[in-house]
Formats: sequence, structure tokens, C-alpha cells
Amino acid sequence: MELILIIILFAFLFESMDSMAGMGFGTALSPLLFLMGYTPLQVVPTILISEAITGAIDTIFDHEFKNVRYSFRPLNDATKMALIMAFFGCLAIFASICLGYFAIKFPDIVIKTYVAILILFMGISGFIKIKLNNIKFSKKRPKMLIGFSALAGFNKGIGGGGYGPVITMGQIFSGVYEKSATAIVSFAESIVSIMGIFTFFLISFAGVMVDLVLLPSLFTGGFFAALIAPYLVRVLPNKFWRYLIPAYAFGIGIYLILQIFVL
Amino acid sequence: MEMDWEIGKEARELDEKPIIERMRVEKRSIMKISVALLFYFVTMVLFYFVF
Repeated sequence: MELILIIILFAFLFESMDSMAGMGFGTALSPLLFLMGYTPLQVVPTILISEAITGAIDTIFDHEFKNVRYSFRPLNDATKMALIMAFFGCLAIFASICLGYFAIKFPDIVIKTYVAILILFMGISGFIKIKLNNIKFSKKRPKMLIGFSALAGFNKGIGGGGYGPVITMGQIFSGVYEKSATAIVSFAESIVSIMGIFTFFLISFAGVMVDLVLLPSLFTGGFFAALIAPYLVRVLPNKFWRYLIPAYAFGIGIYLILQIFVL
Repeated sequence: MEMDWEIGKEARELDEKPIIERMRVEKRSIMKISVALLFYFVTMVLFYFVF
């Protein structure tokens, strides 16, 4: 078993941000690992396994620290919302892994540019929402949320990523409290990642070999982030997250555009 | 889902309390953190034998 310090640090950093701002673990970490010379079959399944476990831990501690409350009997709104998002995400990840590994590819640059611009736009809209908060965005819009879940699923399905940014910002636009929105995303992402692992398991029967060499390092960094992040979400005021989330979405959008056109 | 959902109600209430109150960790939470750490060490031992 090999523990790689730089991977542990990256995993800790991006999982912390993912748990606190609802986005970034897959979208930001995968390109970095590819730049370090790891292959998609080393990176993608490992990120999914790590995200499934750390997402579950994050969910438990978000509930424990009262960032959100889940209930299955009776099913409360937060749980319902997470399950709806997970449903679209599961459909999408199944489609994207099957399409990707059975050689049906969409033009990469078009998809990545579309997702980067969409995330940038959502970050900017997040700031506009803060400005207009008391005017027209303060209403709760459950139907809008279902639309955003489908859009996030579609993005993931065509292989562009950006599932976290779209459902986090989508929840905020639909009137969900910022602290709770990021917590619900972790729950949904954990379920989606389990579906992803299952799909990889299926395609491994078709002769695709996965390599889990990065798993101990990603799991270590992600685990400690998943313990600390829900506590920080609880302690820091919601006003902080209200600004940080759109700023981080904007930053991820810029990072993706740089990656497409500069790196 | 209803229009008057209660998502984040507890988080909102907690936000109105002073930061010292929000920083306080209950005994039950410390127990859960300990169980999570135990889970981490068991998982790493498993990884050691698998990888």
C-alpha cells in the first residue's frame, strides 16, 4: 500500500471545499491527477469510491451538526430532495460511464466549454441573487429544483462533469438555505458515486481493468476533510457560505476555461 | 415537495445563536467522531492487505 503525501493534501483540500461549498472534488481534482500522469482508469473509479465513502461520512456529520436534518420515516423534504437529485445523477453516471468506455464520444471541447460557461454563469447568478435576495429569489421553488437536478444529470451524462456546482447553485436559486444545500449535495453525490462504482464493476466484466493505486491516499485526505468540513459549516455563519459558494463556482468555471484553452 | 419546506430550519436557528454556542460539540458527537476514526483505521488495515 502506497500513501502519496501530495495526493492526500489535494484530496483533503478539494474534499473540504466539496463538503463546504457542494462542488469541486471530481471537477477540480480529476484534471490535476491527469496532469500528474495518472490514467482515467486509475483516477475515475478511485474518486468514485472515495467520494461514496467520504460523502456518507459527510452526510452523517452534517446531520449530527444540524446543518440539515434527514428522516426516512416519514420521508422529510431534505431527504426527498437528496433522493431526487441522486436519481437523476445515477441515470447520468450510468449513461456516461457506458458511453465513455464503449467508445461513443461527444466532441470533448464543446462539452467542456459548455459546462465551464454554465458554471461561470451560475457563479455570477449567485452573486446577482445575493443582490436581489429580497426581491424575487426569496420564494421557494421545488419544481425549479427538479429542473436543475435534470440539468446536472444531463451534464454528467454527456461526460462534462459539473454535477455538484449545478445542483448546489440550483438549490440556492430554488430557495434552500446555503448550509443545508451543500449538505444535501454530499448525500446525493454519495449515492451517485455508489451507482458509479456499481457501473465500473459491471464494465470490468467486459474486460476493462481498473487500477485502485490512488485509493488509500484519496481516502485518507477525503476522510479527514469529511470530518472537519461539516463542523466548519456549522460554526461559520451562513453569510460566509452565501458569498463563498458562488465565488468558488465562479473560480471552478475559470479553472475549467483555463484548462481547456491554456493548459 | 411542499412550498413551505422546513429544510435548514435548525441550521437557521443555530445561526442566530452566538459562535461559542455553535462551536460547542456534544458528547454524542464526540462518540460518533471516535467511531468514524475507528472505521478509518480498520479501512486502512484492510487496504494494507488488499494493495
